[in-house]
Amino acid sequence: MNRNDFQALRHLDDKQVVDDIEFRGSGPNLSFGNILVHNSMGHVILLNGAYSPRTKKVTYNFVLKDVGPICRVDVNGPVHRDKGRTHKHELTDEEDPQKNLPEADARPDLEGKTPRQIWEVICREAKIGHKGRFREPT
Amino acid sequence: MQGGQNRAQGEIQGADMIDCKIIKNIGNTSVIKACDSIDERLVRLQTVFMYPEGSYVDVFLGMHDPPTSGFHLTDMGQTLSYLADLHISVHESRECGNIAEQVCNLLNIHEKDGELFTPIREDLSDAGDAILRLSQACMRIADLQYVKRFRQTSRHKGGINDILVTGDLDGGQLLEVMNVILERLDKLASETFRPRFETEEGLRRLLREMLPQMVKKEALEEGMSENW
Repeated sequence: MNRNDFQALRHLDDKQVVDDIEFRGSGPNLSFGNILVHNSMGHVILLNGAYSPRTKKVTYNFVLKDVGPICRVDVNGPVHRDKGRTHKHELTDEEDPQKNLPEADARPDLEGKTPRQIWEVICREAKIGHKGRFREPT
Repeated sequence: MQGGQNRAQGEIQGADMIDCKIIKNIGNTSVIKACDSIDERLVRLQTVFMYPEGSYVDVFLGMHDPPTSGFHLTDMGQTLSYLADLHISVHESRECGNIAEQVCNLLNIHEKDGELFTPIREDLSDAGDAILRLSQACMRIADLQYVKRFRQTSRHKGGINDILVTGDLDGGQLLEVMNVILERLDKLASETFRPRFETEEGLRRLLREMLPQMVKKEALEEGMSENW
């Protein structure tokens, strides 16, 4: 997938998630995975996410199956270069998925938001309709 | 440090040989870029070390909950989360799990519930060593990114050995690799120019060695006959 393909996918307004999103697990992180993002371009896009109740780190990560990550939002995670702890990664060229998306833009507007609030921002900006339930992690 | 470096450089330039005593002191630099509190019992240390995609490795220094005393150093699961974003799991992939286990054993790091950690003495005398060991473990385990490859959508025309020795093949990948091997054998047989014996024999040896294990593994998993 190149940058043009990514932008076309991003602008597509029929993207849907029909599954419930629920963070689960033991250890320091709660997580979910393999949530399908339906789209009319025929790409198999899988969403996974993680939340740390103690550090308030939140990640939403979109993977193009058999290619790699194409978009990821990190809130209060590890500092990425000079973009801070809260930033958004996007595919900028074809090799980025194999490199786990080395490019990112700072997103200070997402700091302090809950996992649900962050998800709602993502859905609004990426034109994703969520028909399932979102269970806020505790 | 700047003055020390200038002095050291001057002495090095004027000397007939490099003085190890001076070189040893040049590298006294902190590995911690920043520190902030998560809560009253946990602080986050941003190290100078980086994951492959360019983010800095965080390690967290935590106090044990009473009545236990002492400290521990942990990555709070961030390393395995990094791999999860690439659909890599050390718990689901035997190859990745073995590599991660070797790294942890080498560096005396433990893993539980997705978290890498190591204990620290009450007087924090071994904290520096622990930070270096845990940071190394985080970086090395994150480097599994370079081992696991996503399957390409186009047919593999070469590099079969790479795929077979580095990948965890699913059923689709197995069939794709086998088709490429068979196509190559057919091509060799039909060429008027006799191929090098080593090449054909190498491929046949590969089939003899790899096929039984691959077929058995995939057949058992997918419920297929072992004699397909």
